[in-house]
Amino acid sequence: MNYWEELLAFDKGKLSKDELIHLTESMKAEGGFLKQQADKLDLYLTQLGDGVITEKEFRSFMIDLRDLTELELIRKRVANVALAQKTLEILGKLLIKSAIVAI
Amino acid sequence: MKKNYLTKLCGVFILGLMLVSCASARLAYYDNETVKNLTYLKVDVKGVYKQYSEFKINAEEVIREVAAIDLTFDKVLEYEKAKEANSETVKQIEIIQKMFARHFQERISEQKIWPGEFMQMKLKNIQDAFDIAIKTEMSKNMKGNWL
Repeated sequence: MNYWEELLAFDKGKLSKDELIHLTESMKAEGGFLKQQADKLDLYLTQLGDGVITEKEFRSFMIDLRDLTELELIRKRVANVALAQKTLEILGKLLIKSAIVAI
Repeated sequence: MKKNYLTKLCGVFILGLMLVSCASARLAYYDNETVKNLTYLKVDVKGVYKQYSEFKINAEEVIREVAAIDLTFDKVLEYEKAKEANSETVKQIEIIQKMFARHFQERISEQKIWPGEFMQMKLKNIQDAFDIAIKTEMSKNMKGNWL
């Protein structure tokens, strides 16, 4: 498996059509995480092509992007759990309040 | 009739308590100290990266500074590990610490000063890593007042 395959095959599976559409849309979104990383990748490839950076340095940048992607995935997971936590809390508090008021 | 009504109310009350306790067990609450620690670390790291393009890397001062930052990472990590339901933030700090160590290793193994633009690109990546970790903490819920 070459480096690119290794980088892109996070789940060792092919992207579904919907996932691919979502990915390309996210890459176009101005200021979005994927757009920023795509711009960086573009810069690294240009610099590699121009001989400004070596292959070893390019690989290091790719590891940086992999780490950043992992951090972003964790951030999204936490944001989703926080939303669920808030919903449960509000619901729980409403039930307790209504029970107290009824008594 | 009244007993039946009270039983139902108790049921609702207990269900509410269960929901609230379930919610709090899933994810640690927002902690201002974490944001402060990460922000200060980010600034310290920035200072060191700037030296990567200015100093000879073997300069004892830089190595001492890197060791001090690594120690701060360890302290921040231990602080986060002490909290319950906080494995995500712990994992994020571990990733950033490894990235910082890897950059330092690359810098000393190459035995060459990082050109300004190259250093800025590396700095941008580690700064982005800190920003994502800070955003993660900010997305957590505040521990609110009860009722």
